[in-house]
Amino acid sequence: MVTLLNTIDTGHEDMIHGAEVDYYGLRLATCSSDNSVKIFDIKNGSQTLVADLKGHGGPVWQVAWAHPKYGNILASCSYDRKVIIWKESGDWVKLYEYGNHDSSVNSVAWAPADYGLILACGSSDGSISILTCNVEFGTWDSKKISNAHTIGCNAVSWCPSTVPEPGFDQKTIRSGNIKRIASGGCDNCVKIWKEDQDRWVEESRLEAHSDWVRDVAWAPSIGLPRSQIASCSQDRRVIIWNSEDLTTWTPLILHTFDDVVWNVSWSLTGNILAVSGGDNKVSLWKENNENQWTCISDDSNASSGASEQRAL
Amino acid sequence: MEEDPVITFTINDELCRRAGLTAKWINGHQLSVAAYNPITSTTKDRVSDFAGQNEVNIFHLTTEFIFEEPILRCLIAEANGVYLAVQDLKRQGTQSDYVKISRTYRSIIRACLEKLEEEISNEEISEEVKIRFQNYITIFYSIECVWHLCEILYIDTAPSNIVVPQLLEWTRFHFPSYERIATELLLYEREANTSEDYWPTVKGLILQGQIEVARAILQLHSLSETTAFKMAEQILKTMPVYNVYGGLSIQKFRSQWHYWLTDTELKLSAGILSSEPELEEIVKLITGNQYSWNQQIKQSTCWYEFLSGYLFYTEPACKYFELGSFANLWINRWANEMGFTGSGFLKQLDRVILSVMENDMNQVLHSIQKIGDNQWFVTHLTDLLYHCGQLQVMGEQKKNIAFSLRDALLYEFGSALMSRDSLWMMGVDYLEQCSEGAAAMELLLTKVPVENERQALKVIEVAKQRGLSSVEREICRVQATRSMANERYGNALEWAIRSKDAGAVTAITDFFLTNYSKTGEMLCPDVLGNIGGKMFISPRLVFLVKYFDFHQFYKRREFIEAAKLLVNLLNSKITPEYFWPSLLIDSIPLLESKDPKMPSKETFVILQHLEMELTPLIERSKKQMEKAGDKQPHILKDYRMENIDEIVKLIRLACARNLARAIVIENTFIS
Repeated sequence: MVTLLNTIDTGHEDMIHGAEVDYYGLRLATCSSDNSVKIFDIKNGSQTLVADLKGHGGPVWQVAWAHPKYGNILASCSYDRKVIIWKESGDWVKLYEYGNHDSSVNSVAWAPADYGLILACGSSDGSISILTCNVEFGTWDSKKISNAHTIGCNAVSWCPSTVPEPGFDQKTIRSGNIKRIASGGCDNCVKIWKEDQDRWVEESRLEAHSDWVRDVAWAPSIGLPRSQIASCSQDRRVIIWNSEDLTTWTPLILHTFDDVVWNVSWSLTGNILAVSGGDNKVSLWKENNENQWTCISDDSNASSGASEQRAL
Repeated sequence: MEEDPVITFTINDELCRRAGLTAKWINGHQLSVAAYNPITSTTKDRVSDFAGQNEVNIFHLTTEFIFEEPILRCLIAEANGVYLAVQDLKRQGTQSDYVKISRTYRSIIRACLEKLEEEISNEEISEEVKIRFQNYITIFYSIECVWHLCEILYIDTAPSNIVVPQLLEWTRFHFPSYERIATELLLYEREANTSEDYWPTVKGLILQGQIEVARAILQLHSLSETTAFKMAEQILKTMPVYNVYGGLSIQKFRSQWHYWLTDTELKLSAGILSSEPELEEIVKLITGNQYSWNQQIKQSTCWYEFLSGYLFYTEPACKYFELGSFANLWINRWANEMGFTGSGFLKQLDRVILSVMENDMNQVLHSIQKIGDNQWFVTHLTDLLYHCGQLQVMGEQKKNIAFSLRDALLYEFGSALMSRDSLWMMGVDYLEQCSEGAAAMELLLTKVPVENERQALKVIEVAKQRGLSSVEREICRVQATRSMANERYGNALEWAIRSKDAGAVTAITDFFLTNYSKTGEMLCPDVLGNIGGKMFISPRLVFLVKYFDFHQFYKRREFIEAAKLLVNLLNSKITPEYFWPSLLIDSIPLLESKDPKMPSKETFVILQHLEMELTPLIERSKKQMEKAGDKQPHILKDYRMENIDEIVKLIRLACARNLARAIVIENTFIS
C-alpha cells in the first residue's frame, strides 16, 4: 500500500523543524536549528540544493511558501524574533524583514491567495502579527493582535477563502471578504480571529483542551456548508471542531493518544488527517459517511536494528 | 463485519527514532515525514542535543498507484470512456444497454489481462517486472471473475430469477480447460479415447453441466457402439433439462425429473453399466449421487468450481435468493472433503464470491475496496449498479445509501486521479458526477502542476468548460508572474489581462513604462498594438496603450494627430507621477517643429502641466531627499538631478518658441 517515494538528505547540521513543499510540489524548503533555510528542487524524485539562506540568528522554526501568483516567495520565522520573507529573483534575496515581536516567532502561515499577499505570524510573546504586502508598491503593512494567547501562541492557520457563508445560498455566496485565522496557544485555547474593518477581533474561543495547544489546522473547504478545524495538544488529544455557521463550534475528540500530539495536517481535499506526536508515530485518520473517524494507517519509525523499511 | 487491520509502515531512520517525528501532507497522495522535536517557550537558542550526529532526512511517502503502468493506463482510459457512456444514459437505459456496458467493461479487463500475459511471456523483461505484472494479473483476474458474477446476478438477470444456466456459463468461462481439451479431442475423432485426457475431460464436462459436448465426445469412443455406451447415451439424452422458456411449470418439470431419476437409478442398481465403470461414474454424477460428487470435490481447485454443475443436476430451478444457502451448504461440504477446518481456508476472492452469492452487497463492496486496484473496480461497479437500479445498500438507519455511497466513491477516485500529474483530466470526469465534486475540482485543478503554457491552456480549457472561472483566472495570474520572471514581458501582460487581475496588469504596465523612460525603448510593440478594448481593465494600461498609439502616429509622421493625443494624455489625469518627465520631453520635438504642430492653446496646456505637475513634483522630491539626508543622484526614479533642471529649461524654451510661431500663424490666419 504505502511506499517510500524518496528520501531527501537535507544536509542540515541539526534538527529540522519545518519542511514545506511548494504549491506544485516541485520545490522543498527546510528550516533547521542550524539557523539556515534551504531550498531544494525535488522534481522527478531527484534532489538538488538550490539555495542555502542565511539570515536568521537562531533556530528557524517554520517556513511557508506563498502562492505562485506572487512569484517564488518564502517566509521563515525564528527564535531570533524575526520573520524574513525571501524572494527568488534570479537569486534568492531577502524581500522583507519583520522584527516587531518580543520573543521567538513560532509559526507563519500565508493567507488564501485571493486575499492578497498576507502573512500571519504567531509568537511566544503571545501576540499574532498580520503582515500585508502592497504588491504594487512593494511595501509592507503590519497589524498586531496583542496578547492573543497568554504565555505564547504556537500555531496559526487561515480559514479557506471559499467557505460558504452561512445564511446565504451556499452555491453562490462565499465568505469572500471576511478573513479568519485560527490560533492555538499556551492558554490551552484555540481561538478564532476575524477581521473587522481594520482590526482583528476574537470571534470564538474554543476551550476543550486541558494543556497547551501545539498545532491547529483549518480543513480545506470542499464546498460543504461546514467548517472543520483540527487541534492537537499536550493533553494527548486531537479534537476536531465542527461548525456550520462559523460561530458555534462543537468539539469531537478524535482520539486520546499515548503521548503528546505535536502536529496535525489535512490532506489536500480534507479527507485524511495526519497526526504525529511524541509516540513516534504518524497515524492517518479518515471520516466515514456516518461522521465517525477511523485510523486507516500507522506510520512509525523503526525501533532500530532493521536495515530497511518494512511494510507490516 | 470484521475489523479491518490498520496498516503500518515503518521508516528506518536513526534521528527519527531518537527525536520523534512529524508528518505533513504534500498533495493528494504524498506525505512528508521527518524527524521532529517540539519547540517550547523554554527552548534555548543553542544547538539541539541531536546536532551533527545523524543525517537529517525527509521522507516522502506515497500510496501505491498502479495506473502509472502503461498497460493499466490503457485500461483506465478505455474504462473511462465506458463510464462516460453510462452517465450519458442518465439511468434511462434498458437492461440490454447495461448488460452491453457491463460486457464492454469486462472485455477491457480481458484485453488488459491478455496484454499482461503477453508481456510476462516476453523473455526480455526483468524478474521484478514479471512479479509486478503477475500481481496485476491476480488483481484483474479477480475483478473479472467477480464482475462477471455480478453481471449475471444483478444486471443480466433471467426471468423469474433463475440462476443456474448463467452460473454454468460463468463457471465455464473461468475454468476453460475442459472445454479446451474437448475441442482437441473432437479433432482426433475415433482415436479420442486413446488420449489420457479422455475420461478426465468427459467427467469435467459433466461436472460443468456441458452434457451436449460430453455426449459428442462419448460418441468418439471406440466402443461407442456397445450396449453400455448406447444405454449411457440414452440416459444422457433423455435427461430433462429445466428451461424457463420451455413452457413446463416447475412442478411438471420436477415430476418429469423424478421419473427419469428413478428410472436411471434402477438401471444403475441393475448394473447395466457395470462393465464400463467410468460410464457408470458419469451417470452417477448426473443423478446427483452424493458419494460420486464428494469424490470429485477433491479434484477441485477452489470451492465454487463445481457448485454450478451440482446445482444443475440437483436444483436446476434454484433462484437467486436461495443461492446463498446452497452455496454455504456446498462450501461446508467442500471444506469437509478437502479437510479444511476453521475459517482461514477461504482466500479473498473466494469470500467475495460467496458474498455475491449471498447477495450481501455491503460485504461485497467492502471487500472489493481492498483488492489493490486503487478502487477502480468498486467505483465502476457501484456506479454501474447504481445506474441500472440494482444497488441496494443499507446504511445504519436501514436507509438505502446507494446514492451517497456512489458519490463518495466517485469523489475519492476522481480526487486520486486528479492529484496524479498525467491523469487529472480523467479525474475531472468522476468529480463532475458527484455532488461535492465541483469544489474539489476547483481546488485540485489549480494544483495541477503546470510546467509550460500548453499545459496551462489545457487546464484552462477544462476549467472553462466547467464554468470554473476562478481557476482560469488563477492559472493566468500564475502564468503572468512566471512570464515576468522569465523576462517575457509581452506574454506576461497578456496573461495578466486574461487573469482579469487589475493589480497585476497595473504592475506589469508600470514595468513597461519605467523601462521606457529608462531606455527609451518600447517593449513588445506587437502585443501593445493588439490589446484594444481589453485595456480598460486598468487605467495604467489605458495610459500605456494610448501612449503607444502616440508613438505610432509619430512614427508614421502624423504629427498633428500625435500632438492631439499627447495633449489628451497630459490632460487625462491617469499619467503616473514618474512618467511626467518622459511625457513632457516627448512634446519637445513637436514644439520645435518649423511649421507648428501645436496650436497656442495646447502649448499653454503643456506649460501649465509643466508648472503645475512636474515642477512641484521635482520640488517635493528634492525636499524629501534633503530631509532624509539622501545624496542620491537620481530623482523621480530614473532622472539624474542635474539633468532634470536642464529638461525643464528645455521644455520651457520650446514652449515659448512654439508659442511665438503659433500665435503669429494663428493671428495671420484669422485676419
